[in-house]
Amino acid sequence: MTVTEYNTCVKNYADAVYRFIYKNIRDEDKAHDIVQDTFEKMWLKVNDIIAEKAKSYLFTAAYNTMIDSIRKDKHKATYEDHYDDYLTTNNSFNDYKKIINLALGKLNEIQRSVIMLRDYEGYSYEEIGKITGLNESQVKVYIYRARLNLKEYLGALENVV
Amino acid sequence: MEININNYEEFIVDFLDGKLDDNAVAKLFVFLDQNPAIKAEFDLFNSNQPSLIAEPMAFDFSGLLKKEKVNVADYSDKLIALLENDLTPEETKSLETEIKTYPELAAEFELFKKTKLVPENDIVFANKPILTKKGGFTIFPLFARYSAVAAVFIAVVMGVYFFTNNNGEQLADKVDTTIAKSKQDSITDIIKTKNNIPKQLQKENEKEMLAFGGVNAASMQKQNKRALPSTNKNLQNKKPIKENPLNGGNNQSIAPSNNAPKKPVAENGGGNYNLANIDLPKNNNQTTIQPKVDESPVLTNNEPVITANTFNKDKNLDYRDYVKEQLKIAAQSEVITENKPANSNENISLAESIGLNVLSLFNKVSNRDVKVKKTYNNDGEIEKVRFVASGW
Repeated sequence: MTVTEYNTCVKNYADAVYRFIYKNIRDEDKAHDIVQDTFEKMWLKVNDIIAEKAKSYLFTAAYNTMIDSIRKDKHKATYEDHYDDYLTTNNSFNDYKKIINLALGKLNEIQRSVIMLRDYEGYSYEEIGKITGLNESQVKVYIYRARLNLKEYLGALENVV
Repeated sequence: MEININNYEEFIVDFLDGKLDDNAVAKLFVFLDQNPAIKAEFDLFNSNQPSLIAEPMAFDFSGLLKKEKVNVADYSDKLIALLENDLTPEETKSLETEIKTYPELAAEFELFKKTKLVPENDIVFANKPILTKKGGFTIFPLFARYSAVAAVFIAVVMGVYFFTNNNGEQLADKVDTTIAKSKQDSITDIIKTKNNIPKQLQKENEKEMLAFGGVNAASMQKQNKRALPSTNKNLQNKKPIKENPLNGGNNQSIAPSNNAPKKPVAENGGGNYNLANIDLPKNNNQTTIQPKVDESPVLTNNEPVITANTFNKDKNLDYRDYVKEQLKIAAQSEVITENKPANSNENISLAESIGLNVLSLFNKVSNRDVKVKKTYNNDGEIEKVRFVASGW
């Protein structure tokens, strides 16, 4: 991959990677750092990476970096606490984005990641499997469970409203 | 087929079922007339013919087969699969029909549709310029940067020490000057020894040889051989030889055995001298030569005593051979040491300079004596440099 191709990747995928990470950990600074680390890793291997697979490499590296960060900081509890607080203080449940974000906060890391890769980036089961290190069947199961959990959460909220 | 006693049952059953034609019926009745016992049996069947009558159904099962409501939980898999486009066209069509049929299924599917995430394009990475790169250079890993910084720092410290503290080059010059001086002194002493030994041999006769060997002089004279002393009492007076800390390497140690003023052997008048401890190298291929001259007090009997404590007794060499060997060693020393200073004293490499400065620093910090030992090969090139700190 050339420097130009690398810079094209920055232009095309930096937002998507940042969105993916930010929606997962809900921490702008950490998401910013993870995106920077991810692109730095990519730059170090810029000569070894094929341009066509750059996006996949970026998401894989970002996902792994994020998982390491979460495990290191035990960020999961913070994330859920944050959204529990948000849930109790913010009553704008009619806002679909916020509701779905709250629902996402209830998912575990792997379910959240696979469903975001599926819906945001349109990856296939196989591609998601490569990024997350799971096989295709596992990806299917995680997506199924994620949708079921989201549906139950949304259904419960609709009933409350 | 004719009716007989073996097949009449078939005819009777067919008759009861009405399957017999007229000809067969005629034959059956003729047979029954001929066999009254079978006719009695036939009459019994014909009068009480068994039959099953269908009774009307009392329970209506049709209600169970009607689907008034669907269990939506059973459709979760299919609805999610539909959402993910995982169903075949036939399955999709069938499920869509069911969704249209049952409102609760449609509501469930709408709920599942809401789980489809929509990208939030307002979330962007604001600082993209820091990620972009320009060609022509490579990013080094963090540990490499730290290593480089550490290396530069050490180099700067060494450089500052070099140029701010004159001890650096002065020490190097001092060390090499001392080395050269030590070498020159050793050469001078060896040459003097070499020049004096033959004279003494010419002046002294068998009496000296007696003192030297303590063996039968007459036999020695006849055989023109000199025996080595069986015991060397002068060795009892020998004191430990101290090596010059800055002996210039070469493993050449020239040190007086006592604190008395050093007297050249030639100044002893030829009669009062004690040439001892002339160490011969065991292997002439080695460039390390350690001639040691020990000038002990003169003996009371005014007879010169020449001993060679490291002389190879096993070889039982003649004293003349011994002297020849001594001269040969001295000559080799001259040849070797003539070549050394030119290489070692004039051209100080950067590594040597750094090493000497490190030694100087170490000496100041630890307050220990530090020695530089160089080993030269036959070509006069430095083969090995060793830094030895006392007590370590």
